[in-house]
Amino acid sequence: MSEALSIIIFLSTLFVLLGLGVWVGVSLLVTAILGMALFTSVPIGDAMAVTIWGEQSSWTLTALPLFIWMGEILFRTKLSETLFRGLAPFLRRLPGGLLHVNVGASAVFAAISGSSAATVATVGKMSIPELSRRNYPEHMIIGTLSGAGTLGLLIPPSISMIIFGVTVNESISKLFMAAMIPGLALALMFMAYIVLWSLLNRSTFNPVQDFDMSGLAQRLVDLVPVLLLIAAVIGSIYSGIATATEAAALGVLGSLILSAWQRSLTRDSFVASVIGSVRTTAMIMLILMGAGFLSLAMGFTGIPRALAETIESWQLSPLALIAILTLFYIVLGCFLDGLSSIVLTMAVIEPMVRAAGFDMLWFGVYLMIVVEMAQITPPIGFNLFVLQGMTGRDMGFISRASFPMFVVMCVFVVILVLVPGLATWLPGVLSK
Amino acid sequence: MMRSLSSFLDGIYRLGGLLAGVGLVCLCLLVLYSILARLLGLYAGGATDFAGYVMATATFLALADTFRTNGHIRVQLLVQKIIGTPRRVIEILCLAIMSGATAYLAYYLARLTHDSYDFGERSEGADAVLLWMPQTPVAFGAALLALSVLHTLIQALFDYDAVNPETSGHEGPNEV
Amino acid sequence: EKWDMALAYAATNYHSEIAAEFAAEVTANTDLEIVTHPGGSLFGGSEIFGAVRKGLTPIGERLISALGNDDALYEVDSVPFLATGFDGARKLYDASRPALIETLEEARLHFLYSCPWPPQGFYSVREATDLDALAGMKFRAYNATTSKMAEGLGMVPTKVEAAELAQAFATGTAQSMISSGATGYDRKLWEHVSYYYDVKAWLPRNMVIVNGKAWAGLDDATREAINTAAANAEEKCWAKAEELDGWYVEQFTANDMTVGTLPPEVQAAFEQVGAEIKAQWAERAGEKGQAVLDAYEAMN
Ligand code: NA
Ligand code: NA
Repeated sequence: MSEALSIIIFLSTLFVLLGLGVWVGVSLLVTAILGMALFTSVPIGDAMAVTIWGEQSSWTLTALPLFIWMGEILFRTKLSETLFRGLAPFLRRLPGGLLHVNVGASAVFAAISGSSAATVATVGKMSIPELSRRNYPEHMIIGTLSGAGTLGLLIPPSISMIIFGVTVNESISKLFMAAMIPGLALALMFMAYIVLWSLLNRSTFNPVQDFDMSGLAQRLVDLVPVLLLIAAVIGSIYSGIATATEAAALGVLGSLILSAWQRSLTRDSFVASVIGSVRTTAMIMLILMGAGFLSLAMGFTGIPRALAETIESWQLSPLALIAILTLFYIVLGCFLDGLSSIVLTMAVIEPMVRAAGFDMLWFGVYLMIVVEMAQITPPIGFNLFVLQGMTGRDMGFISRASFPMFVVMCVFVVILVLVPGLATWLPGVLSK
Repeated sequence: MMRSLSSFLDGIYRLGGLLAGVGLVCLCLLVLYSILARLLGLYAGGATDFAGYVMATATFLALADTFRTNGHIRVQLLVQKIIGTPRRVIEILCLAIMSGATAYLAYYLARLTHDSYDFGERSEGADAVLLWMPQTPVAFGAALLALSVLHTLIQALFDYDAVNPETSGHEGPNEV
Repeated sequence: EKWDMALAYAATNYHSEIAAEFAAEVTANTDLEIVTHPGGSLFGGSEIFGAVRKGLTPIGERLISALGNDDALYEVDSVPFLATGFDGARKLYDASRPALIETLEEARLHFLYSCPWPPQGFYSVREATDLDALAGMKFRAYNATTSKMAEGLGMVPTKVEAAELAQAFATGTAQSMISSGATGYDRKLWEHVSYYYDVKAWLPRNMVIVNGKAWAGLDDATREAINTAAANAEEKCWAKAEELDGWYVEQFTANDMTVGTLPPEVQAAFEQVGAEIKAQWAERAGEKGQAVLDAYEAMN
């Protein structure tokens, strides 16, 4: 059977199942089963079991549940308050005032959490009420928060990045190194946007400046445990003392100590963090099972190789390829969450990107940014969902508020393409 | 009668979730142990393999509980606008597809376990463990998921109010 | 008919390149088409043996000694200092092939050909002037044999996954190991490790296996053509491994690593530990293993 026909069958099956509302992981699984039945003579069920067992018991993936757990513990601490109170005195003098706290606190929290929604939820818990009370415009509070929250995916540790690394067989530690400078650069660009916006709207932007500056020293001291935690997690990976999994386990330990020290560790909060983590893990793993089996099915059909060869034969410039991919991921990201779009596409995209000669570390960073965009594009965007839950505003308002951040990220993709060293320099230096 | 059976089953899924939680704690301890072992100059040969098994066990035992608490992701964009009986038909169709797929998964994971047992297949790692041992809880978790989906399907057929997605309190998707 | 061939190593690795040539030769000469899937893109390395056994894919390649937990016989190529260098490895292969084929047949697998990795050398951050210089060094062990090796030499075995090797040496988590020249070259270990001792302690081999049922389903002419292609691939692959071995060592020298041989005292200690491991192996492998050892010794 021709490859074009099999692509059509794969895609239409998948879209019908997803559109009906069949759970994402199972949609992938059923599509793969159908594809194997139509295009191969392989014993389907046995191949499925072998693939799923191999992937689900792999050591590289163990970083994932541990980073999820770490985020769940931190969410239940007083960290959001500590971050807000510690960062606000320093950022409030910039044009745009306390809006910068959204970006700053997100960047700091992103350095200990692997999730973008957890970042939005943790930072927003404190900053939404504080900023609203001071008459900051709501669309700016929400927009900067949902945009900066996506840093959770880019600034290491990052759950999406672990999944990318496992899928394409690249060192997770190196990916984490590659993402650091782009993460900080993107944070600075968000801040630059806030400055620009506040200068352009000087006449109407008039927040209350009654900030309580008492106990400044104590607030800084309160930040120390967070910084220690970042050092323990990121530092242990960068210095090579620990693998990503080990850093995650150290992070869990550190978070438990932090939360005990803040007196927010109770039996209930501990159990809740554990249950929350295993559920999130199970949710991700079900999707990974389907995606892993689907890529096996695709491997048997030869589709990825044929597609990669076709695109190679077009002789596209790398720039044109990236432009097409970006458009593709933005469209896909409207309907799928970032995780699903990574695992769904990698089987086809990876050979293509390798054939075009891209550095896989660079591509991983690029992918994180386009996937970040998916977090804030309607109708399916997790940061939008989280903010909807926190503010009660409708999706339309929240996505409009987030749109400027989306544009900032598009600009950043262009910068990353022009200056690939942003991603490739640090891993090169650190592994020396 | 049916509702009490249903809540009994929910208790079992919840128990699976709790066991998965124990697994997660064990996973963390295992990784911490391997760090400690390295610092002390001990050889923690099989630790990484065991970590993988513990993770797989924890994942599969939590699948059913996650399903029953609406934790698995689905795209409800297109069906959101459909209400009443047509929506119920779609819901039943989705659940029927999912029942079939999860039963299929559970059957073949059980077969994998049986084949490993039959052949005496061992892990390639330093642990040299007989693979059917860590595969058994995985197959069990998959069966529990299949049961929970079938359970929901039966409820959708005979007791729709209990699972109606239009009214049931979503815990909402967890996220990454 | 089309056969998918599962390969664990990257497309550019010589094992994969020669498997691709083998596939092309079979495809050209028979009605059978063999398509290679390198880099674990079909099944990952540790899945391939089981996948071929169960007929999930008819043909695949696997590192033989990785299966040592299933049957000690698979580990014979990794007994330290039993057969050093290419000549020894070739003899050991010839001596062990009948038993290997038999063991595989019990798992309903058909053996096609086997090809070595470059010999295992000793990497160290410190000069191995004598045994005291080695004492207490952190030795990267990846299985029970290498772990015993470390302990026997007064070193401390430490577990490091292959993907984390360069980092482990960079940070001192590992200070020495026994591995092939290929590993050191692929991971650019000269950035962190100064000494390479070309001890050729053993030569681990890959093998290409076919599912028994799939093999039985072929006609005689096709089998004959596959056997010819396998024999060609095997010859090319052994020659390639030997050529590469010299090349890797040259690369080490070019990158300022000190390449040499161990002082006699240290070499003797290595061989002593090797002999102990060999005795333990013989015990585990039983009569079949002893027969292989006897056949091998008869060749020397
Ligand atoms: Na992060
Ligand atoms: Na989106």
